[in-house]
Amino acid sequence: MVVVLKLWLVVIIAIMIVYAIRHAIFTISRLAGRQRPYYQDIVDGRMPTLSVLIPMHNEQVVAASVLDAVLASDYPMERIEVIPIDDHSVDGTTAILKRYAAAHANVRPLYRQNGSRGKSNALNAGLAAAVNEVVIVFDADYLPARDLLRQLANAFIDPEVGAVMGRVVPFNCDRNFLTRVLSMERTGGYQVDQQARYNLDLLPQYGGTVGGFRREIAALLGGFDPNQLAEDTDLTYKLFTRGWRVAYANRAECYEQVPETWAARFRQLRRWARGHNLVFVRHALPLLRSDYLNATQKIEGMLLLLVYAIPLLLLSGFVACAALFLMGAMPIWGAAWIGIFVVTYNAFGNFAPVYEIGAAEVLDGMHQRMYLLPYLFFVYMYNTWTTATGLIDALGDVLRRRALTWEKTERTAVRP
Amino acid sequence: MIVLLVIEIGVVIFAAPVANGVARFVAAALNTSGVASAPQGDRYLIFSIAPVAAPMASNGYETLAIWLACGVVGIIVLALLRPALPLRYFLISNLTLLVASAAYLIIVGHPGYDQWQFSRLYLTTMLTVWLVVPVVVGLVCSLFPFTTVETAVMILIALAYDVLLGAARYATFLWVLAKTGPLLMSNLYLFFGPLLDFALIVGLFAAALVRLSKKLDKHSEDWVWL
Repeated sequence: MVVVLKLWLVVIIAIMIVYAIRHAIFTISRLAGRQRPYYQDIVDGRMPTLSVLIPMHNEQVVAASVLDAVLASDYPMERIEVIPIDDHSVDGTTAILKRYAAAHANVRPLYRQNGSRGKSNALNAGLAAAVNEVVIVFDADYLPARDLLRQLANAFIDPEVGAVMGRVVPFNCDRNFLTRVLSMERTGGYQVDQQARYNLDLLPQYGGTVGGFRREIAALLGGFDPNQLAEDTDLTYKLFTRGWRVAYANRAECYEQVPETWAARFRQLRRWARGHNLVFVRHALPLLRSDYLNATQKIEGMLLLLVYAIPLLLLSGFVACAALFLMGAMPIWGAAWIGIFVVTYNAFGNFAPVYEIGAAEVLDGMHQRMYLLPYLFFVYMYNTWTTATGLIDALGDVLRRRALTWEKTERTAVRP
Repeated sequence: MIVLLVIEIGVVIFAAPVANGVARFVAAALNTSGVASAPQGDRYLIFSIAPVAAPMASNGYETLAIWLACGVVGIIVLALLRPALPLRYFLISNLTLLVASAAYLIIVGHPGYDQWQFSRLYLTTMLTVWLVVPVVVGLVCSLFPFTTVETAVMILIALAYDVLLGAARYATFLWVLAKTGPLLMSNLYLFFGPLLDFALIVGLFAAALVRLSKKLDKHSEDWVWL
């Protein structure tokens, strides 16, 4: 028993060292490496036509804001159709969409009152209705800047690009401790993680909002699977394993509202963990077998697929330490290493270590927020249980082949 | 890299004398508080160390049963009162470990470590953390445009802080065990042991990054925006 537990600790520490090296490479790439330019400096007379899809379920608080922001875009309006998708709303969303449809010829809402609810279903309905070359997706609580559509659309000049992703920036980060911490997560995830993966020709993720994809490809791939909660990661892996690329536009910033309560964050993170682990089940083998990816990209793809298993892995290391301690067989070096990893990997989201979050904050010129880094230690158990619950959900989904229901993240504010 | 190597060699040379100095200080502090104690010689890797031997209270079955019941009730109360989720999970994790320790002591009848073994485990862990700190802090600092002096200062502050924290915590742990017995041993070590060292070093790192970030703000021409 003692030997097994000690071996398990060795395995965990080895895996964590691999992740530490991965994130160190990302940090070095971002701080000292050659930065891969995006397509923003290319000026092309023929920009693609865009279909902007905005799935909405009971979004009366934010619906008008996102529509106003999209309609204020500097993209030629005759080349855009805006398709807000009212997905079984029972509040004032429908009335707001009707008002905008009456006032703007290129706003063509879809009203879904039949069939299953959920983002994938809503996007599939939007895809069927869309007619333009490129589909851009926003969640209803996002506020795109004026030039965002132009910046995102630029990437599709490159025929290898199947999807593009912009940068998400929270606008309510000054609300409380949680929103500040989530803001740090977003900064680390985009400013360092996504950009480094783009720099190194690895796998930048299409994130399901503030991004877009070629409509024809999405149609060829069969649209979005209603049985995937992480439809964005699912699309990312479908594209990469079939030879397409995802571009990342670090300057294409869009503003979102992050959860302001721990309970709302719990539900969001649990859903992400559940969805991400389901994507792992579906794409692990195709990723390894893909002829379009090199060995480095496959390794990175696997590490990315496994990120939501990391907290649980660390928890199992902690439990192994506790068991060994009770039995009087605690390995001292094991305790020191597990201590390091538990503390340094407490950031949210993709579980980036503190140096990666720190690098992102330095790049963004954020000062005071960095004092929060050590407090992340105290949310370790929270993150662990949340993602563990998501992992258990995913296992239940796979074993029982149950249908998934979509749970929307609670909105609490309208404007920054 | 050379600075890191020099500091690491310094730590290897001075770790054992400092650890033994800490042990002597802890023994003196415990004696002053009425807990009879004295360092006892031993070896760890290449180091001659002297962990503090002190008495430890014993936990009877009735006491353990009461603690076990209190732990379970505490978990239920926390689940019902629903304080902020991070606090709830942190407290529940602590109580779960307490319940597991009580159950283990009831079933097995004795703790995995006696007082001296625990004292030795703590002192050797502290020494190991001192050995690891320069490497970890040095490698992390190497990712950022810190100067050699800044990196060296950060490592030395982290070490100095760790020595002080280690001494205060060592005395507290042994005093708690002398008064309450082995039940709390695992909670002390696993939640307030090496984890706390690294959490506070992260705080130090964060403060250094804030300083660096402000310094870089003054040289905006160094930055190339994407």
